[in-house]
Amino acid sequence: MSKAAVRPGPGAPRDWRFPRAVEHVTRAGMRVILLPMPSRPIASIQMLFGGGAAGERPEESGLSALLARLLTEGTEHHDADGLIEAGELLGASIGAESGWESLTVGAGAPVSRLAGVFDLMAEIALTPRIPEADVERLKALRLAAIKQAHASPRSRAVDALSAALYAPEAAYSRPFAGTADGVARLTREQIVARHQEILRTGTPTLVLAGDIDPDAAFALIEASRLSEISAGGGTWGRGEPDRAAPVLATPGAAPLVNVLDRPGSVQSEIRIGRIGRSRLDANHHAALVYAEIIGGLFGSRLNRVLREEKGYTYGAGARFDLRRGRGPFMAGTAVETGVTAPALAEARRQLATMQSAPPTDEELTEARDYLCGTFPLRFGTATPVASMAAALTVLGLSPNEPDHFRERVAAVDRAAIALIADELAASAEKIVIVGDAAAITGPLEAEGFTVQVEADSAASA
Amino acid sequence: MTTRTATPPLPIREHRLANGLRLFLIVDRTAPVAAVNIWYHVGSKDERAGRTGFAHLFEHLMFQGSENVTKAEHLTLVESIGGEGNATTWLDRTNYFATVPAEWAELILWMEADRLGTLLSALDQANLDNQRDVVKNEKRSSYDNQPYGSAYIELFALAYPKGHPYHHPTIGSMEDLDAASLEDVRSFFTTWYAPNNAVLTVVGDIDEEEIIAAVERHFGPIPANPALPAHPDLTLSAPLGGEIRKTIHDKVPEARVHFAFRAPVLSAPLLPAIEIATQILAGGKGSRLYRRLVRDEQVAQDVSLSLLPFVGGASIIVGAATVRPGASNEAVERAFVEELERLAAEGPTSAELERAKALTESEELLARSDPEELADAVGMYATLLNDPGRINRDLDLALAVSVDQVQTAAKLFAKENRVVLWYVPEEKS
Repeated sequence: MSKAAVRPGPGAPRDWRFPRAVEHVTRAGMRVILLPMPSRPIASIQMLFGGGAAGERPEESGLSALLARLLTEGTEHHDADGLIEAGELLGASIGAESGWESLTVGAGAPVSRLAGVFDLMAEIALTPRIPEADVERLKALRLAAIKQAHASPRSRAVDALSAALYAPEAAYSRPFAGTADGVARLTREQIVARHQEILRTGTPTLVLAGDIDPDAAFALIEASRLSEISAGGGTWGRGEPDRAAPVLATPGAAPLVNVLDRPGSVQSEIRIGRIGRSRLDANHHAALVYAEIIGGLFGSRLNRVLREEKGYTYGAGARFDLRRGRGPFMAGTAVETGVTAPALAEARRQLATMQSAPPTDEELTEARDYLCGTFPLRFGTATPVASMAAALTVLGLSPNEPDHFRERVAAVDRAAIALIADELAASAEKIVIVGDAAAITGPLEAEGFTVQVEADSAASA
Repeated sequence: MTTRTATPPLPIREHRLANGLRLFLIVDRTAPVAAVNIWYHVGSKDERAGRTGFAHLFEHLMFQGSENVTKAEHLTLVESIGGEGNATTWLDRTNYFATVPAEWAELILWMEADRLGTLLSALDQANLDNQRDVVKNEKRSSYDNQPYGSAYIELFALAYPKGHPYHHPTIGSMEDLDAASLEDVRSFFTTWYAPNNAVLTVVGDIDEEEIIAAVERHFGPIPANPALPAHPDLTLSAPLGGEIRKTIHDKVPEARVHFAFRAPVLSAPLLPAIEIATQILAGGKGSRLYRRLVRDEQVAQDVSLSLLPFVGGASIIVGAATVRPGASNEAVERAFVEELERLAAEGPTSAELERAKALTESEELLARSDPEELADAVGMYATLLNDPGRINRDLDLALAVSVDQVQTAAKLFAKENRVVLWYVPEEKS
């Protein structure tokens, strides 16, 4: 087409590589991974411990998240206010958070203040007070946050879909910050015990990125209280991950739609899911390309049809949540209540095309080029660099793996996409809609769906 | 005392085209990227009665193709070269931006020029109708279907009098969106989308001469609008003149108290002190409001307070606190207001001021590391203050704020300058 003829092409490409990790082991045996980034004056420092939500039993759901929150409520040398003030005076934001596989004490701080930040982080990790009154206060805050999330159609739909995809004993069936039932039951004894456990097990690892000289930083670490953190007893990335066996798809079964009633809702929040891939799978790059084509790119099949052709929605998308175990694949959109049934039918039709109509050359090229081209854009500051290295470390992978990302993505071909499509199709499809049941049930049934309505119980609780 | 991290000023190169387009360039070779950002000095303040939401609807149409770009191809092209792009509309302006691998900067410049030069050649009723539906769903997703989703709309409507250009929301009303016609689109484009109403900023691993040549090549032929109209008068005829209150009964999980206060405009010398005051009051867990309402008295679940700067009339400071079960809106409002008034009466401690400055310095340094944020800040200061070099003085201005200035800023929270909006959970039938 002549339109393309006038378009400027690229200039000379620039080189890029992920910051090269420099490693160190402290006298006490703790692993340190440093990613030097010249001219980035704000460093990211992340102290990693084991003990994420993936290992939680249903009755202790929310334990890691609550422990993380309590770590900054005072230490042996500082009460909660004193801790915050000490951090702020260093220009540092210090906090702790938990994920599926780890608990992290993290800080963003000027590289000139590292020594003080190291000591504060070590205090937080080693000597938290975990006061009884704060346990109860933070449990109440967490319960209130869960109630707020329930009122948001998006969070409610995602949580309900996770619960539908995984067996109740699997941690992935629950939000990683915990369920209301789990959080309400947590005790200080459990939290203190879990804290002792994370110091002993796993392999505490310090990851830092920024304009930092390695030798100077390692010397500062040895001179700080971080040097008191020992090697720990475990190994990252070992042991059985949360691999909930996927429920197999039943060929030809009429799809069941689980409608969570939200009376008066002007939109329906639709989620369609299946159990997806693990981040440890060799072909997870193909899963990323697959997701861009069906629901990542602006011109993805879902967004092109549901938004740009039909005008049903502000946006439609799909993605794999790549975790250590097989995380979910979720597609979703929010549509005007009146078009819920045709929008759901259209979204499922588009999802099915990934098997019936393999990606075109244009789709493959665009998805691969997008992923490869935007990869460096994500790593302009220290925090995403340290976070990437931390996430890899926790999975037992090399912090230099990002150097190979672009070549692996560029190698994804149609056959690799077909494999992902077949694997997805083999696991059972689950559909959740948060919307006005009275308005959408009839049209959904007329469209051929079997509808199961769940009343808005939590709102009145 | 706080020791300053050395931050040499960023050299900003300026180039002005004959048609009035202002171009600003900053070379930053730390990442192989280029951020291209264009600000048009047109926003929801420029909408006429009966067409609220139009500036934003128009922004969507800028992605629907032009002479050499097909419908919805703009973002596909950006993504296919490994870039990210988007646009936003606000009261004073509309900005379009993309961050791409540096070698592709010229393609973005060309696409921006193509839509500025030839948008109307691709405009049709089907595209308008489609994007009208998309925007109406954006309104449902972001406002109508969210708990407390109407809060900002209400606060602006209460803080600015009816008829003032900041009174109505950028998202508009369903009726006004329905009323928008192709003729509205043509007239809006012809009036406001001109090179002499635009600021283009490119930051990243770029060759300045190459970018200037490319901008001359692609934007140079686009004619200026010699009849660019004046923006509407933003003067507020009177102060708020007393506390304004409203209560909304809605489907919300918990009660919430929102606040709004009028504040000086973007160019006012007091602005850095207001930023520091909001940091001391509500910036993180060490702030006065968090300590008292969330941690000590435990009447609130969360607190917030932030300044939204505007160019004329008055800026606005918005705040909120979600009420904990068992606590009352009255108790939360009283404690919140007492802390604001205490800062006005006593000022901050010097230790508080020092901590707030240390955090502000870290945030500023971080923001400078992001080409996209940097380009947007240059675009803002050039467009609204005609002072792009302000980015090099922001940190110094923040670090120079005194105890007295914070106290002066806190006087904005006085009752006669206050809007209070309550959300109360609707009784179940």
